[in-house]
Amino acid sequence: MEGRTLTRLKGASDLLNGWPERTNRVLIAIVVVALLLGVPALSMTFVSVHLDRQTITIEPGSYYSIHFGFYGFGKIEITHSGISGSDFYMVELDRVNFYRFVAGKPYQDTSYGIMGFGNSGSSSEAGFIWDKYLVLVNDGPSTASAELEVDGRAYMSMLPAAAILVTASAAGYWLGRQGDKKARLDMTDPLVMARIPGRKKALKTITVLSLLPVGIMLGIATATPTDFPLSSAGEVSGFFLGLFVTVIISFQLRFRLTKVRAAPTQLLADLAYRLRVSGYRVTKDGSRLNVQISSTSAIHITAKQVSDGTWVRYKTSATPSGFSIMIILSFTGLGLPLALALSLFMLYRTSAFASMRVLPRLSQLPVPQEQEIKADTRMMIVESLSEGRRLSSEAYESARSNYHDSVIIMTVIGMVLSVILGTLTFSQIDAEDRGRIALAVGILSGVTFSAICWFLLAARSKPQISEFKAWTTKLDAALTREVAGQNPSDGDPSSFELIANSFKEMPKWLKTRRRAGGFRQPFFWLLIFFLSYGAFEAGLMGLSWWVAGQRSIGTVAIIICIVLVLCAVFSNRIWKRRLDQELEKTLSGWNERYEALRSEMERLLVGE
Amino acid sequence: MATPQLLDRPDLYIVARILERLWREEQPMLKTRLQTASNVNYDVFRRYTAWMADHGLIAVEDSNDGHERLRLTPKGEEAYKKLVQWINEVIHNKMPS
Repeated sequence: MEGRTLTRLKGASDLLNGWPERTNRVLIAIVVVALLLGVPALSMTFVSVHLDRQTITIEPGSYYSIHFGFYGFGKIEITHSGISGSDFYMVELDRVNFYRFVAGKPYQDTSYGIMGFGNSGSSSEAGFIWDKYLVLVNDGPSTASAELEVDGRAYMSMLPAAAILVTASAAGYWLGRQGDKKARLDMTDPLVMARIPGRKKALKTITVLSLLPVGIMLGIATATPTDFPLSSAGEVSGFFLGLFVTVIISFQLRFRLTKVRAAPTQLLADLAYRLRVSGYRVTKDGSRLNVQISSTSAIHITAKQVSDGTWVRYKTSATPSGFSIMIILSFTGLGLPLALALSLFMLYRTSAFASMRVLPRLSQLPVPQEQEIKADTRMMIVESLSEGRRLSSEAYESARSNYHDSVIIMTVIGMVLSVILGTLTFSQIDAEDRGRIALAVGILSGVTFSAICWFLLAARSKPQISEFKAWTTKLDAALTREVAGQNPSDGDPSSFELIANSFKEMPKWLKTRRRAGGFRQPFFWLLIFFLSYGAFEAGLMGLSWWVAGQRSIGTVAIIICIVLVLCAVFSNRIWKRRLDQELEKTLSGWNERYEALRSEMERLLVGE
Repeated sequence: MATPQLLDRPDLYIVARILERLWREEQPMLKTRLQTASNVNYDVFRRYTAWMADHGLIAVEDSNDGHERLRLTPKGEEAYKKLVQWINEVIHNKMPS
């Protein structure tokens, strides 16, 4: 196992060379481990602020400040004693207000306290701490002194997380360049050379987009009036708003790839054909090609006619799974930095795909339209196999996604059940160690419920997933064989038979695909998601209030929870009904086409 | 050799399978080779090839070595193309034209 891992690492540069479609999972695992272990270690080492007990003196008309730039989770404990001399005051400021304070401009503090002779005490806070300045100001006539001890510990700061991600990106980029060198690419080849400006453009864009949230944050912070009671909350929300806006922008940017002397329609048709025969999943949406690069990334390719040719342009996109991850990360708020990192990674991946995979296919000769009968037939077989493979693999992925969604839902239900039973046990029994008993009941019930559901779901879903996978593999093998111009082995079904047999499976594939169709109607999907989340929150709070003896507010929260659950169920039913109607329409259309095909074939061959 | 019993209603898949195997070959195919490649028993194979020859989809060629070879006729090639075109249209959400 170890040898295998080492080989994988050794071959990292090779894998990165063909990376637009696949990423080295070992490298990703290393980055994740580096984040999990490195962020706390680096935060505690470099971001934390520690001041041993010491006497500080502040001259009249001056100040003493301590800066806590955690940008993440941490804890601050301050102890003061032995105050002598003039009274002084202690204020807490965010960065912008600290600069205003230093410049002698009006400022807004988050806390204020006067410290005089004999005062002593301590304060502590823990949680999400952004940027904080603790300032001791002596406005008195004589020198002030105090004994001060500060222990500010950052546990999870965004600064080391960003540093690790930037280092990992730089290492990945360097490995990619090494892979290029190892592949001995012909650097005089214009197509190889064309990669460089594309890569540079992507890097420049990523750099600008990485800095954009900070720019938006500073813009909002400086634009906020001094007397506006936002304090660092304005800066924090400005940063997260900046992250959100940047994530959206990264999916809206359209890049020019190259200019080609061909009509847009023909150019896209030829490109779609070439990408399909290379095994990519391509769908045509109006005048746009959607190409799936990986399980999360996709690219939109468009063509725009100008006076001297056609501009081929591309835009970063994501698959439904990719968008799901993005929405969930954005919704959690604190996951937004990760959402930005992921979207920038997708942007670079798309750019690499455009320059390494799309560009060479654009420079090939046009696919001949008036061909000899044999080549024309082969082209149609390839197209049919490619489309069949796309549908079957989408059904396979949908079936897997449905299975995983069900597992997650059942696990969440198990957790809710666990909390409810644990809380009820805690409130109902009157034993000394009722806490432990309640915990045991909660965990046991949750785990048992989740395990049973998981087992049942696996028993129901796995055979179908395997069946879809087998179809995808068969069609994939046939497509590869057909593209290579090889014949099937004796006894193997012909490509025609394979396609025709796959027609019988189509209703099943379409049904499965439709069931995982959240992103075809994102409004309902999001509505149900938010209603369920709200119901969960309200229910949990209601239960805790109820147990704590606050019956009236607990009842209100539980009623809100029930109303939200009913709304979620109602929305879900409407959504399902729409999906069913759409599915029925699709299936009847499909059956009609299939029957028409059979009768046309019989008429042709039998002459009836 | 006895004349094979003619087919009333041939299985489209078998017809398409034989057409495809011949379509893939540059040269006429030996009967035994085609039968193995098509994965049908000899009796069925004879009936289908007879039916297809009768409908002008394939042609039988005698060669100097005494073995019969089969080849696709232009009509057979056109028929196979038509079948492929229809399945291609249907899979792309169109009605076969």
